Amino acid sequence: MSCDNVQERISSFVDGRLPDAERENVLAHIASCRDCDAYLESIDSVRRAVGELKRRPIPAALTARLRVLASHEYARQATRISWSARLSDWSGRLSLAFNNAMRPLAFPFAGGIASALILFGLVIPTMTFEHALADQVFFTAPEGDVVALAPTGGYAPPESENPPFIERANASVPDAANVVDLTIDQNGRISDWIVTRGELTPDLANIIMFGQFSPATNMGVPTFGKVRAVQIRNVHTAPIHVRS
Amino acid sequence: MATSILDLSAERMEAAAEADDLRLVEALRSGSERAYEELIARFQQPVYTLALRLLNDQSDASDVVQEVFLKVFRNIGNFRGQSSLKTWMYRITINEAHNARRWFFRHRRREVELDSSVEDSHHWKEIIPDGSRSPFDVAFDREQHVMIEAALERVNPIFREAVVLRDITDLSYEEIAEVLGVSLGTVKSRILRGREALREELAGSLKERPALRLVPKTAE
Repeated sequence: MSCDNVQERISSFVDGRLPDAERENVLAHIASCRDCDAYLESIDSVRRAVGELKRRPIPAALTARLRVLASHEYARQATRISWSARLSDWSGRLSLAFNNAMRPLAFPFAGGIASALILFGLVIPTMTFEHALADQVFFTAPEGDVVALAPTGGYAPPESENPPFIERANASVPDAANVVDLTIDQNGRISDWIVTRGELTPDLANIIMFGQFSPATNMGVPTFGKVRAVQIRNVHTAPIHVRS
Repeated sequence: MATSILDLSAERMEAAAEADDLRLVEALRSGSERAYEELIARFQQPVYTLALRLLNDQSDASDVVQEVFLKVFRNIGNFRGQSSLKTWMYRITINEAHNARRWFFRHRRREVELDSSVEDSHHWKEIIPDGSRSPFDVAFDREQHVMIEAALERVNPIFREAVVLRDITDLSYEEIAEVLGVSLGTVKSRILRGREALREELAGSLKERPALRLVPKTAE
């Protein structure tokens, strides 16, 4: 074995990595070659010298930092592993984010709702629906006079020359009159009518359609009754033809 | 006969270490706090020593050690047990040291070291006099350490990591091949080249310790 071959194997030799046969050869060569012996000595001393560098204590600050790191990672892993912990973590985060987003809005929001309530509360009572009944609405006064109400709700005097009026059912009426006998139900509404004399004038028709009466009472209980609507006949009053 | 018994016990020890690794990895995966502490206790010293010898800078080595443990904690789920925990951790350390060195060369460290005095300070064990060793021995050792460190730093990093893994971390050739991801032959030649380079760097300075003896004498 040449010196080059031996020196190439010296490193493996000092680590005990040579097969037995090669080891024997190297040993035999070294025993007879001073150069290679010196080379072996120097490589071995290099090996031992580097090995001396093992003893270098770890800095205390690093140990402390590693402990902090481990506890952080442990906490991180713990939240990752358990579903309930993860869920509570997320719900906590969500509620915090929601609170943070909503808190600045809470006061304006409450103020807006309150002012909207006040505004609508003021406006709604003044809002009315348009009634599509007639231009005039008739009511009967206690004396039997027919009172006309304008659509605005105020009093409007009858426009015709001979305003209609209400009589008892058995009252005598002049010949020159249009008479309608009315049946009043227990609610004060007209449930039936019949023209007993003359013809049906617009004023009488209005009474039939819109008249409201205080119902008759029997032993204090509202009941049916009869009244007679009368309008003195006037030559100018145009008759309404009613199909009977 | 004796060798076969040794082999057997070595094999048994290896199997025990493997089982211990698996137990530790399982404990880490299941999130046991004690496992985190055990991993640090077991590996902080060898990982730190390796990083320090690769970078020859205490604060860089500390940063690398932290990065290594962070990576191990985060990626323990990916550890398949194809290699031992030890070689897996050393491989991460080697990679992180590579990254740190690359960073160092790119940024060419211009800032002034604030805690350089801390870096130079020695551990109390090295400062407090040791009754069993003479002051001369201590001084000689320290001088020799500084010399070897400086020589090691001048060796090509590729050869240096092989030598460090072999002579400081005490890995076998097979383990080094696994850590570095190279063939056994490459490991052999890298160690050889590394030692050769070191021998040249240290030529003449690594002398045998002079036979100096201090004989206590009473004052006359």
